[in-house]
Amino acid sequence: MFPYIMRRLLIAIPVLFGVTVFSFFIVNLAPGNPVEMFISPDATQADIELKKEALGLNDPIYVQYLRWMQNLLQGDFGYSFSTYAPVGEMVASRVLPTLLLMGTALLIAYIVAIPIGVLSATRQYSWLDYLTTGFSFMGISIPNFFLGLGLIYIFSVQLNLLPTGGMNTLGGDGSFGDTLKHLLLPAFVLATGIAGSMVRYVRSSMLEILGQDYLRTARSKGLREFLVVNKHAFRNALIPIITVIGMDIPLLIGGAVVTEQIFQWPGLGQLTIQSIGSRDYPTLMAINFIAAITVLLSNLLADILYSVADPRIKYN
Amino acid sequence: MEKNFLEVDKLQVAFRTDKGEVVSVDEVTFQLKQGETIGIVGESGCGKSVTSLSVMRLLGRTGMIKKGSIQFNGKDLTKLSEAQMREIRGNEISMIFQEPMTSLNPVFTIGNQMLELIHLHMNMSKSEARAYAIEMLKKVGIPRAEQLIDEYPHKLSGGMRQRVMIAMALSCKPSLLIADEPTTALDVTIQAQILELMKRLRQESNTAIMIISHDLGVIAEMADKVLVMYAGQVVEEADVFTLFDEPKHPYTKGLMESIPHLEHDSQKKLFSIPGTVPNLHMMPKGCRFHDRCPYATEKCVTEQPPLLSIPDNHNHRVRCWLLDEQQQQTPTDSRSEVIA
Repeated sequence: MFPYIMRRLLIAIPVLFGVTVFSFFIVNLAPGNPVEMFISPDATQADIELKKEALGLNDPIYVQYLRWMQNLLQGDFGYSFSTYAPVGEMVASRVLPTLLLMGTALLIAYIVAIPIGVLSATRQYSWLDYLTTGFSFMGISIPNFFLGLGLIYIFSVQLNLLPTGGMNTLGGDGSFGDTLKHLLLPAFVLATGIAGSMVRYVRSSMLEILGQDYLRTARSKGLREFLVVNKHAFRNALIPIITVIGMDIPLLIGGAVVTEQIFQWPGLGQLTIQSIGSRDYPTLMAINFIAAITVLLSNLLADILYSVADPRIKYN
Repeated sequence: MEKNFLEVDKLQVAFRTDKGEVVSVDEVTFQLKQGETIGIVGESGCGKSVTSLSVMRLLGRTGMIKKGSIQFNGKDLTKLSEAQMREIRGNEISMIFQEPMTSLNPVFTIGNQMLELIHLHMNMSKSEARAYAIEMLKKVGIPRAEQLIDEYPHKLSGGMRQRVMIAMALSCKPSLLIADEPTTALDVTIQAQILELMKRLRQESNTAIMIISHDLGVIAEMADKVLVMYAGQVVEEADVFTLFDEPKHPYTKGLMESIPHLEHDSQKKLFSIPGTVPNLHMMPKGCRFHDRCPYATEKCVTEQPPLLSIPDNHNHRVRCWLLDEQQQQTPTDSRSEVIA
């Protein structure tokens, strides 16, 4: 197993390099440039040129890229074009809120979705099954921004129960309870979408397993149905579920761009939107870079989990 | 004479389908004594497996026992609760299946799956149970049982897996073992080994066996008495010698003629019964075999024959109108000589 992991990590390096090349050039393809985004309308053309020259934006793109790479290899993400703060610190301060939000959302989603998916599969075509597939379809279909705004309207504006956004009350005590209140709505909004698709994956994956011969064997041993389903069948249904979880983990970092924006959650997603708005190349590149690493690592994690879940899968 | 410990009486099993309820097994009656082996034979889809699964009450969500009773050691299995049934499954009645490749759960070790059963029905400590499982594996001829117990099923060949299934099925010393096509998926040399093994274990444990097969050779090898099933009904019942010497039902005769023989003239075309088993949704009126039967008469088309004992042997029962007539006239059946 260890050599396999090492090999996968080594392969990840050129992939990561490729990702940075692509994203650097694509980010630069966007119309406008950082200087035009933050300089006041009455600045002269000469001022703008001066600023561009100072930021190195007049150099050919590959020179800019190599300069960025050179800094990165020294562990330096550079400085933000819009706030002049070190990008490394900016991004780091955003990671924790996003982890908190997405971690909560994923946890709620899985705790709810997995048992429901299993139940739905074991009672295929019952009213319960129709109900859950119907609700899961709704969960997938309702856009997060719409659900988010709807919930803000109901719970914050009308009922005045929960805050409209942010992570802590301004001037508040910053207690955990306060954060929890702020967390509730955005986490719920994110969880609906994730849970909706998870229910469907669990259900279909279980349905495929439920007709297998070895379940009949398990029943013929006198095992109770609960164990037949939740031990013998579920363990076999795990592979596709692990795949989905592997795809969900990058969300922990990539965050929920739209939802964070709506709820003014100070996470990476919100930072992404702000950096795109100001064409803040160094910040965008740093976020891309971290997201790429997360995707690669969670893919590797999923592959390792496969072999844990299914003994027939072995890596050499 | 020993008492029957299993008495299946006029069993009727139905399945719910999109097109309504279909009766898949009808009026099946048979008895079994301790240590006896009954063979159930017939084409695919004639209700052999359904009959055996209803003894285990493992018909799934859509299947149900509509009529009849299954008396097992004084209990009517059709009336027991699910919890009482679980006590019996794997313990007093156990089962091995056709597909050894898919009958074991791929994600648990052999030992894990065996111990699960042993813990369920036997009062043993962990280490005792493990030692017992290894002993059982050795009994069915598995080499290196101490190591193999920790392996996953995919490391084993089909024959080895079927041995594991047998070891598992016999762990709790059941009084009835149901073997649903236990050798069908195996190649011939392994088939012979598995049958030998089952015979040896039967001698040691005095377990009654219900063996289901479409292979008459397997039945001849194993069974004391035989049920021939066709389209969900028993068409002939006899002890194994009588059945092979004097098959009465045209279907049984047809089955025997369609066995290839080495000594047969290679120019001669192998006999096959024309047509196929009727669809459960469209069961023919009268005798269910009439549209494939070379001797069918008017009566066969309109009236269903009952399963009746033949006069000179009351243990030999046949569901055929021809027998009525044969009692009046001398049998002119030339086919039985071919088989004999």
